[in-house]
Amino acid sequence: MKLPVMEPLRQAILHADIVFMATDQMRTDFGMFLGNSDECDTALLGHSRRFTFESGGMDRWELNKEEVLRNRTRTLKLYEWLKTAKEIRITTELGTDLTCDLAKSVDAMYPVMAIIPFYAEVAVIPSLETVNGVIVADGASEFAYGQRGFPIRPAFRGHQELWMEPMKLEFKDSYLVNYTGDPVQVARLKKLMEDVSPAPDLCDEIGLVTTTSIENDMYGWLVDGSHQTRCVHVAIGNNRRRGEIIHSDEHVDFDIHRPTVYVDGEMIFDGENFLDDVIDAHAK
Amino acid sequence: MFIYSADNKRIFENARFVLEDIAEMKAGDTVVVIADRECYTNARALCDTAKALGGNVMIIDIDMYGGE
Repeated sequence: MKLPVMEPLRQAILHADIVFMATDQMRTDFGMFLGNSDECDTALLGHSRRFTFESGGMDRWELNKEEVLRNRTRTLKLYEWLKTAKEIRITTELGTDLTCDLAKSVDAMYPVMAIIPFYAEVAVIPSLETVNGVIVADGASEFAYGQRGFPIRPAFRGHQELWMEPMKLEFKDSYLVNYTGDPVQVARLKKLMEDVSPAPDLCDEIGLVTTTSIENDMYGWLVDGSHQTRCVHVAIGNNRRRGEIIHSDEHVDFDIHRPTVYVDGEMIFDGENFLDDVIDAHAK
Repeated sequence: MFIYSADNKRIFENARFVLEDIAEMKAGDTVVVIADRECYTNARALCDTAKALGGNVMIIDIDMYGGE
């Protein structure tokens, strides 16, 4: 159901100094409130001080404030480095080995700073012909069908499928060319490819999750179990406006747990911790 | 403070961190929180704290908007 834009709400958002959307971000977003889907992406960056408050349990958080702030600083430093970097490589013990050739070109890159308080990420929107290799997605996927349908690989309360064989997605020149895994999840992905036009067969995002605050997993993202700490997510989608937006009509993140992440051959994440000294040394 | 007892310090300390250290709120800022019944506790804590910090605050309840 497409809801009408409520002008009083829209005006309140546009004219406030700070806005917190405390409601479920899978059911509501700033794009919906403002009548412009691009605003959903813009609000993720934090420049406008429109924040998605992605966490319950504020009366129970035992905050490591230094860690939360360090996550945010790390995000900006890694973003600065990646703007001039040549390659990202992601590997896991389960068989992930994916490279993104940044030197060739990159369509866009964003520090995701406004899903607060615990989340942080550098989102890379890779150009066509730059992503090659395999991911073994052992974590959750987001809701499919415009984030309103059932996930390909669900991991939420009442429907947990992470015990199933991880999904293996193979990319060639940024196109999804093959996928295998548990037959149930493969069938869901096959149906998504058939149902959605244009088919979401592009690598739409490499999301380098930069938070290590475990509260992100305990109190946030409970709706689908995605975007966990110590993960990278790789999205399939149908983004044909790659330099302008992160999230197209169809955009499904797949979490990859405990990855080793390299930038220009230098390890920046060892599956457990960030090597902040390395990131600091490269940040301008 | 409308909802919380004075001894529940943690929620207000956490709200203060969100407002001051992440949102960089200053006295006089206009703060709007979009909420529904499921997140009202967080919304109320944010607004109570923002008000105590000198903000002009408002909760917009969108429970009736969509009703999902």
